[in-house]
Amino acid sequence: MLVPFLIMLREGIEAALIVGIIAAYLKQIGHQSAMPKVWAGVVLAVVLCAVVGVALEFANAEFPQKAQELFEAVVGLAAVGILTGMVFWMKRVARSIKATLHGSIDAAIAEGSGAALIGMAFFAVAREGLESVVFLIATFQQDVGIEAPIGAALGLAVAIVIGAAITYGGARINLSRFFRWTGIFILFVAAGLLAGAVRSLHEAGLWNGLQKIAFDLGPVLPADGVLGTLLTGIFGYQEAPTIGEVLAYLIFLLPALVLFVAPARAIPPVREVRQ
Amino acid sequence: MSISLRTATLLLLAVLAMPVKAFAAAAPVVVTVTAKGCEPAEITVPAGEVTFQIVNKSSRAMEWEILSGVMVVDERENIAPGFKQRLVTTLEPGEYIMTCGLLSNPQGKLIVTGTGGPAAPVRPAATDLIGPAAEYRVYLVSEANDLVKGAGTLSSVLHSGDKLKSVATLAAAQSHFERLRPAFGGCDAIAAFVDLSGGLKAELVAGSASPDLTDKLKRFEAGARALQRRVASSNFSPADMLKGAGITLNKLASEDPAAPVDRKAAVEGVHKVIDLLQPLLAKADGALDSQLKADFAALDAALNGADPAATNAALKQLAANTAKMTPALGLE
Repeated sequence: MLVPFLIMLREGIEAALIVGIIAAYLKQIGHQSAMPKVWAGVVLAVVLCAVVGVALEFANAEFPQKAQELFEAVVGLAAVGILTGMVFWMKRVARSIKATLHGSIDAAIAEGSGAALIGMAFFAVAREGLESVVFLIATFQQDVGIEAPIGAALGLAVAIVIGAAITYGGARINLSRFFRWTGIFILFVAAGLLAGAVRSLHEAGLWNGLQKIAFDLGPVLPADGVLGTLLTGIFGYQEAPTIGEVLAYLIFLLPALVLFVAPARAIPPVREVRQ
Repeated sequence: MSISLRTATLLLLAVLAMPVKAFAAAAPVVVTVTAKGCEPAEITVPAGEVTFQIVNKSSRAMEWEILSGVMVVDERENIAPGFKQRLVTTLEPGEYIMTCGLLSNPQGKLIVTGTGGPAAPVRPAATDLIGPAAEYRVYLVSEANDLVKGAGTLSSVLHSGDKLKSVATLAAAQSHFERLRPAFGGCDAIAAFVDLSGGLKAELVAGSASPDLTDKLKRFEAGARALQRRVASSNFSPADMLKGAGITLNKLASEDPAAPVDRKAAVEGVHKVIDLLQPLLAKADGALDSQLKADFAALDAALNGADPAATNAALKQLAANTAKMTPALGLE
C-alpha cells in the first residue's frame, strides 16, 4: 500500500507543484481573473489523460513510454523557462512594490504570458497524468489486493492537498516575502525540472552523453522512501543522478541564484507614483 | 516560451496519435526482479518483436530498462512491489543490458540472436532514408564542383600545349561526370558529354587541334556548369537513386565497348548509391546485400581484366539485383 501511495504522491506533487506555483503567482499579481482558465486547463488535462489511459487499456495496448519521456522533457524545459521568467520578473517589479503594484502588473501581464501560464498548468498535469492513469489502472487490475488502489488514490489526494496548500499559502504570504523566499524555492524547483528533463531526454533515447553515475545516495536516502518521494516530487531528487544531470542542475542553479540574490542594477528603481 | 508550449502541444498530440501497439500473442518472456537482481540474469531471444513480462518481487518500486551501451532501448517505469508489467519491443540482433532493480544489483544480459526463428526483415522508416539521400546530394554536389573545376583546368592546360597532361586532365574531368550518371539516368546531358569528351580526346591524342577546339572547350565548360546547376537544384530520393543506378548499369551494358566511356568511374557512381543504402539493406534483406557485394567484386574483376563480355554479363547481373533493392527497402 505504501509504494503505490508514494508513486502516486510523487507524480501528483510534480503536477500540483507547478500548478500551485502558477496559481499563487497569478493571485499575487492580482490576476485572479485567469484562475478559472487555469482550473479549466487542469480539468481538461485530467479528463484527457483519463480517456487516453482507459482507451489504451481497452485496446490492450502498450504505454508509449519513449514518446512520454520526450513529452516530459519538452514540458519540463518549458516549465523551467516559465518558472525562471516568473522569478526574475517578480524580482524586477518587486522593487516598485507599493500601492501601484497590482495595477501596473495587471497592465503588464500581457494576454500572451497569461495564456502561457494557463497552458503551462495544462501541460504540467498532462505530463504526469497519463503515466498516473496507467499506473492507477494497473493497481486495480493486478491481483495485489485492495490496498494498492487505496494507497494510490490516497497518494493522489495528498498531492492535491499539497498543491492547494501551495496555492493558498503562497497567495497569503506577504508579497515581498513571497518574492524573496519563494523565488529561491522556485529556482531550486526549476533546477530539478531541468535535471529531470535531461534524464527524460536520455530515456527517450535522444541524449546519451555524460551517463556516468555521479553518486549513489540510494542506500542513504532512497528516492522511493517517504522523504525521498517528497524531495523527488518537489525538487526532482534522484538517488543516483548521472554526471550530465548534476552538471545541468548546477550550471543552471548557481548562476540563477547569484543573479537572483544580487541587487538589480540594470533597471533603475522606479519612484512611487503619487496621484 | 509559447514556442515550447506549442512544441509540447504537438508532442502531446503525437503521444495520443501513437499507433496503438497491441500485445503480441506470443508467450511473454518472464523476468523476475528480486532484491538481488534479475531472474534469469541472462536471457536469449530471437530478433524481432519480443514481449517481456516484468515481475517485481523486490520490496521497492522499480523501473526496468533495456540498454544498448548507455542508450535506453525501451523501458517500463513505476513497477510497484508485487506488480507485473508488460513490455513489447522490437529488438535487433545484439547484446543488451537489463537493469535489475537497485543500482547496486548486478545487471542482466539480454542476447538477441539474428538466426533464431524467422528474423523479421526490418523495413527502413521514412526517417532512415533522409540520411542517405542527403549524403548522396553532398556527393553529387562535390563531384559536380570537381567537374567544373576540372573543365577550367583543362582549358589552361590545353593552352600550355602539354599533350599528355591535357589527356590526363580530360580523363580526370570525365571521371567526375561519369560518377554523376545515376543522378541523370539516361538523360541526354551525359550522352552529349560523352560525345564531346570523346571528340576532345581524339583530337588531343592525335595532336591535330581543329579550329573549333576552343568552341568545344567552351561547350564542355558550359555543360559542366549546367550539370552543377541541375545537381544544386534537384533532390534525389532513395527510389530515384536506385532507379538511376539501374538505368546507368543497363546503359553501360548495352553500349559499344569501344565507346569513350569511363566505365570504372560510372560504376563508382553506382557503387556510391548502393553503399549509402547498404546499412538499410543489411537489415532489410541480408541475402541480397551479400549478393550485391559479390556482384560488385565480379564486376570490378571484369573491368580490371578489360574483358568486355565478362563486364557486360557482370553489369547485367548487378542491374538485375539492384532492381531488387527497391522492393526490399519498401520504396515502391
